[in-house]
Amino acid sequence: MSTKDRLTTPVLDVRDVSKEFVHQSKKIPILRDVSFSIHEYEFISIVGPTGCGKSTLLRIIMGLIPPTKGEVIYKGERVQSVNSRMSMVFQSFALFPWLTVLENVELGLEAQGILKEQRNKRALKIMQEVGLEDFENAYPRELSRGMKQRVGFARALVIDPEILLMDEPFSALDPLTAEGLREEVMRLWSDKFTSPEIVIMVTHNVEEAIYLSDRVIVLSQRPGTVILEFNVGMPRPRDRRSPSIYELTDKITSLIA
Amino acid sequence: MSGIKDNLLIYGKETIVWMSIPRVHYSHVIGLLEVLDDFNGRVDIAKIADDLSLELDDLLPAVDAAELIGFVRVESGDIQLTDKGSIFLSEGTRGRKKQLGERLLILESFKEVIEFISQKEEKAVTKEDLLNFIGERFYESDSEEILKWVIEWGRHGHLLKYDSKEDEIRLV
Repeated sequence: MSTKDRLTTPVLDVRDVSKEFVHQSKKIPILRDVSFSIHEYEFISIVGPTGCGKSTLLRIIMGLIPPTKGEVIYKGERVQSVNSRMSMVFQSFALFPWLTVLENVELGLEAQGILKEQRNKRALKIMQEVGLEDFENAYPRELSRGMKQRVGFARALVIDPEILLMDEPFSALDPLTAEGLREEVMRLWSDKFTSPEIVIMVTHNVEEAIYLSDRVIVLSQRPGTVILEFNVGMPRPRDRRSPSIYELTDKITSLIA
Repeated sequence: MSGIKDNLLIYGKETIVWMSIPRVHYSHVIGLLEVLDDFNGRVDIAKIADDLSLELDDLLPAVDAAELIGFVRVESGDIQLTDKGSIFLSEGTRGRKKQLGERLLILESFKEVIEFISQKEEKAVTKEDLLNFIGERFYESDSEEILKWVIEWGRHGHLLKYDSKEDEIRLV
């Protein structure tokens, strides 16, 4: 695709999105005039301080909640309800404790009306990819947090989403587990078989954003507005402990601190 | 358990056998190996703790487990990735399971558990069966806890499947 095409045909367009919540008849602005575009095969991170509205933005992009002002355009059409071509990985895993790992993963397919046999086949395939083979019959309580989040990934990837949304996916994990799982996500991203076309990750961890993404969008404190957008421009595989990542992390952190 | 390769202790005339198996989550060992790889395969343990803002006490169980299965070597405060560890890291998901399974079977206690199950005609046991086996065979105060680790690592090493609803621990 030529540069011109990339510039003219974004997959996702966030246009002047603002969001207000009303609390005790008082309007609380969460997001203010947020605009950016995302193209095919981009891994984007949205970073910002706690409470800047970045998780709200992710929910607006998916169509879970409407913006107060502005719009989200997906492939030329305005997002007005939940977009079934997107799926989400949550910080808190959001698994059903009474369902097995396999049943949790299949759930996403059930909603799409896919037949039982097909569901099973696809779920097992994706579970194999993310390292959940032999855990089919396990219940969430039998799993470490790291494995729970793998189930979260499998459930999101099983529907073969065009856009994968991740809301602080590593924040509820201890540092060692997070380290391993970030590498895993990088491996999945470089494998075009499992990979969605676009990943949008929300995180408060600047270093993590730089390490994983092609482009980083930095939001201000609440009401969140875009204060910086930059291409990371480092070839993969990257070294999380390289001086260039340290320097960039420092620079961005001082911006939002 | 650090540095102990054998699961035998001769105590007077008694021989005490405990289970030398990893007693941390698999994801901790993976994380440790990935960090080690970033440090080009060799680094001071304290430096890893510092880098991850972890207390040494939180890191050492993962180090012990990785050493037990032969993926790292510990030498005067430095931790080093072994050839087996490097090969493991270079593999994809399935390859890692296979490598890990082979390493687990080198552990005498783990092998005994697998042999115990494989002697059964149906290649499966109940949780109770395995708890009894562990309780009788090994010097452990908490068989439930041990069983939990056996199942977790057995699953990761593509050796065991466990279905709690059917109460069945089965060889893969």
